[in-house]
Amino acid sequence: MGFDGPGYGARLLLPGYLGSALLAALLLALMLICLFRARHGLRMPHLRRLPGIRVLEEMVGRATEMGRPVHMTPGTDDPRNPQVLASFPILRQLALAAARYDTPLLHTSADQIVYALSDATIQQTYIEAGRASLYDPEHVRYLSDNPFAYAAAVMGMFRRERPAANVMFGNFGAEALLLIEAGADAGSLQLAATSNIFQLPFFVAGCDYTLIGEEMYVAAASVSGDPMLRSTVIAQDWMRLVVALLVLAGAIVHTLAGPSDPLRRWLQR
Amino acid sequence: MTALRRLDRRWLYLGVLLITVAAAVWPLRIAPRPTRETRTAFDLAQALQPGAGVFVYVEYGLGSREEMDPMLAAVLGHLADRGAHIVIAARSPEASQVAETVMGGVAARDPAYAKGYGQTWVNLGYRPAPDVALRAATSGIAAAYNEVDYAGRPLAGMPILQALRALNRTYFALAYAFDSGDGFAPMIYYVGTPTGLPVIIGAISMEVPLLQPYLAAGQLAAVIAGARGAAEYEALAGQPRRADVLVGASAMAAIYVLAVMLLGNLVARRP
Amino acid sequence: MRKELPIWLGTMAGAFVVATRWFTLVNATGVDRMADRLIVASYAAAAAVGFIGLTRVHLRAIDARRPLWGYSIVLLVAMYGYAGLLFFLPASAPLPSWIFLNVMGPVFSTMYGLIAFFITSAAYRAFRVRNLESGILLAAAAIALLGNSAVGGRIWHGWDGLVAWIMAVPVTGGFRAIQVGAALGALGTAVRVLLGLERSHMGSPQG
Repeated sequence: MGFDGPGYGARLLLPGYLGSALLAALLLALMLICLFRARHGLRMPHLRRLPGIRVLEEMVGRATEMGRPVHMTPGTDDPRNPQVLASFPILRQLALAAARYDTPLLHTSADQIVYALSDATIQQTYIEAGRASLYDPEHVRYLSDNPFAYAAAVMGMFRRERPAANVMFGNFGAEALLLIEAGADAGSLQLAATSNIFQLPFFVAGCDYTLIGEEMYVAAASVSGDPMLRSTVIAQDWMRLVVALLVLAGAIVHTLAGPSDPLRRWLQR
Repeated sequence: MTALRRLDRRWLYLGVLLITVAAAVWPLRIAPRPTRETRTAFDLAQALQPGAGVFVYVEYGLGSREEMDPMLAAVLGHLADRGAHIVIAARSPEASQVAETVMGGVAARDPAYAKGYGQTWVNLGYRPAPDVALRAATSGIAAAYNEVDYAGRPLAGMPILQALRALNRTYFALAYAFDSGDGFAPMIYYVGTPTGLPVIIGAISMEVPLLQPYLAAGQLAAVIAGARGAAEYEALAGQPRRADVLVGASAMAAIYVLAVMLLGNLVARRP
Repeated sequence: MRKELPIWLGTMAGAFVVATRWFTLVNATGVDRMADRLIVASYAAAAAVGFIGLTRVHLRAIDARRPLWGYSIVLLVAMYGYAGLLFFLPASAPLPSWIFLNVMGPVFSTMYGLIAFFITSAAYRAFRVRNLESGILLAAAAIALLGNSAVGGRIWHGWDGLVAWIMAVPVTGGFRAIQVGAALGALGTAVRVLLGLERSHMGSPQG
């Protein structure tokens, strides 16, 4: 297989990637420092619990009282999307609660690999919770790769099975509003989390609880209460401070230097 | 007022239905004034030399055809008028058929494209893991698309891909993504930013706010925004007018939605 | 070992892909393009998983005569019928194209069209003015709505400029903040997965 790209000469990094490589390296370093501190029991800042996460147990409890199932979807993307990966800790937590309360957990997906991973996650969680007999493979459903076909199937399912709670945690496209209104019509308590910005307004308008952007990743890392995972969230917060300072520095340098902005040119090397 | 408070949502839906039928029966044609972004998109295509390489990535599927087809047809028609060599790829199997249908219609109008498949244009179609294929195309198009086109014909004998070997600035002048949500990001991350190739996004109107940060940062050369952008582009490029009617319909719908919002407030405010 | 091996494999594969994205030395070898082809092949193979999963679920539904089991027959006939057709004919042949444009086309357009209906009921519920913030939200929505549909420009010639300002300044500022946070979160998730800290997706407990 021949290579047709431009020659790189003595460069170490590909053109245009210096800024992102530096930021990623800094985040990795901060995470390792926080992991080290957590492992050795050193003092760490307090992490507030997001309301959207507190409500997960309540959603399953509500479904149990009403004798209706809980539904969860990781959206319509594949597992290379970090939003989809972030949905698995939430799925695990939901499955733990569903196993504890003996409430059916319906899981639908629009990607074959997500389906296989979700099935394994739910089954394993039920086994760990000592309720293996409650695991029903037919509650884990791959519906279609096409977002609209997927939404049509979920809308029909909501009409028939009327879940008491609906957790939408992942990446959604234009089908988001269809799912939200189907959930509202079924009388579901709805929690949505996504970092897909152009679907966020629909979620904020139509759902009872919404996790916006980074909150979904924080929720995923902190839901289990594992101190090691929580420590990495603190590293993310430090990094956010670094980025904010960088934005401020960029604004000042760009205002003073104009189009010749040396900071921008250096970061885009 | 009590009845309005408990308004069944189906009454609201009936209003949408009436607007839609009215827009179909009595089409209202509105030709908006071109925005700066649409004009930039037009100028970039207008500046192309005959034979310049253009990559067109189609993401939207069947659902968004009504909104996006006029835009894609207007841009492809303009590119054909400029004599550009067009390489089309798609992000899903359905997008690949949509692209084939729209380009088929454009090619039928121009002999250089009607009989020039493999020379003036090619449809690479869809490959599983489309982002990976797109990224791989920046260093070799034929290999990234498994050496065959949309219909399974070998790419090896096609002159267009002997000239346009890789999706980068060395071979191409412009890259487009026609998008309803998921296609613009890989185009920026894997093609525009690493190769420096100017990227133009044609997007459904719902998605346009999402593109603003990339536009402001210079990662996008231009954005053609929804039916309105399509209508502006058609007017600028002298292409058949199909989007004007859509703009008229969306204007009627916008006024209706605004009325519904005000009604919602009125109902909530009255004791 | 059963749990450690996939994590090690994942970490090494991830580190390798990261190296191909950033470092010229690895990128120039062209090895990453071999990895790309492997990913493409694995996704093509994954389609079979979905096919088998759907078949299993709907055969059981038919077998147990579950409610609406007749639709399961429709689904299986459509799925195997269309797949069988594409086994003998290319997607560009007249019959698959006809089915695509005249059966699937109207169905998907209808689903997309439903959004217009649902937006109305969502707008009726969600844009209530309760305080100053929600009042600003309503005003901005009204300005953008009329501006994007070209009505605003007919009312007052400065309308388009106002919409452009809203989109370019407050909207872009807010979206950038969310996007930067989300990107950091995504990067953090990637690092947690690569370090083997986050393994829920493998059916294993975290940590």
